[in-house]
Amino acid sequence: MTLDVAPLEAARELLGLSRHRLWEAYFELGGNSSPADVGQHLSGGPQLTRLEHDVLVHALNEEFLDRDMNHPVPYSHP
Amino acid sequence: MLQEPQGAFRDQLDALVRTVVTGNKDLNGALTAVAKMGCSALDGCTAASITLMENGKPKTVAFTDGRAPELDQVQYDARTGPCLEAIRTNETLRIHSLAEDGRWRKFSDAATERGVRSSLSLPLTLGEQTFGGLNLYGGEEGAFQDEDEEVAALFASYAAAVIANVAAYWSAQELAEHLQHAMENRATIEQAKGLLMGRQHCSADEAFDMLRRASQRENRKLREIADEMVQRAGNGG
Repeated sequence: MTLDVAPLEAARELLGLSRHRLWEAYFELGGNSSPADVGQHLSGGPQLTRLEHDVLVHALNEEFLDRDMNHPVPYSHP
Repeated sequence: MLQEPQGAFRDQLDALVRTVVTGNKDLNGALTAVAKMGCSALDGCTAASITLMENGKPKTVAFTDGRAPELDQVQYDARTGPCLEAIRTNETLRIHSLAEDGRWRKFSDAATERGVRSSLSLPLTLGEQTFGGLNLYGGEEGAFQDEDEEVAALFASYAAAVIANVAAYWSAQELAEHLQHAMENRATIEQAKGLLMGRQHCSADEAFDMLRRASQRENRKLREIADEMVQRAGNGG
């Protein structure tokens, strides 16, 4: 299954979050991939696993939580 | 004539480079030390501040006297003034008499109201890039003469290197502290996942999914939920 990364990049840009900041937040949540691998995933390169993708999604959603928006970025599965 | 003071001054500056990072607990303390030294290097200086450009906007990051940031702010609000002009043109700008200088009236009026009667604004440059300014304010008209300008320019060239280095040092420190904090939160989340795996006989991936669904459902951060879970387990709950 191909994971859709477009909403992640759109959300990241909307939040004004650098890729490195996003990686830090992802790492804090238990993400296991390197900044380079996360960068490639976001650029449409080799994909992360479904779980790592969802940890990234959650990192973005927690940033939205600070702006009173409840989890707008979709997870790979409910 | 300037040879001797310059030599002593250089020694002081070398000492500054050695001590400014280790003797201060944070970037602000280090920058304030630089501003204080800039002011004390010139007899006529009554207040000094350091402006750094952040994302194209000027910001006073250190000062020796409350009047300095106020006068800087008058310039930032007006988007013009000797400090901003020195940064823009990369040239030192000396005002002998603020009462008589008509170029930046708001700034000059604010300065004279505060007992500041002359100013010396220097760009802080590293390589080709001007990243800020050193603002020196004098309590008397003509507080800064040609030789003061030379000393201040020398100081500013050293200060620029020191500031760039301490900024890099503290930014690395901040990054390390930030990652330390991230590691601590990560450990709590891992603990909570471990608890769920034990209780629900599930995989680590499934445990994360449970936590993030709880975060989504309760509209709370995952770390808070994990933290509560770990605390409850610690209390035998």
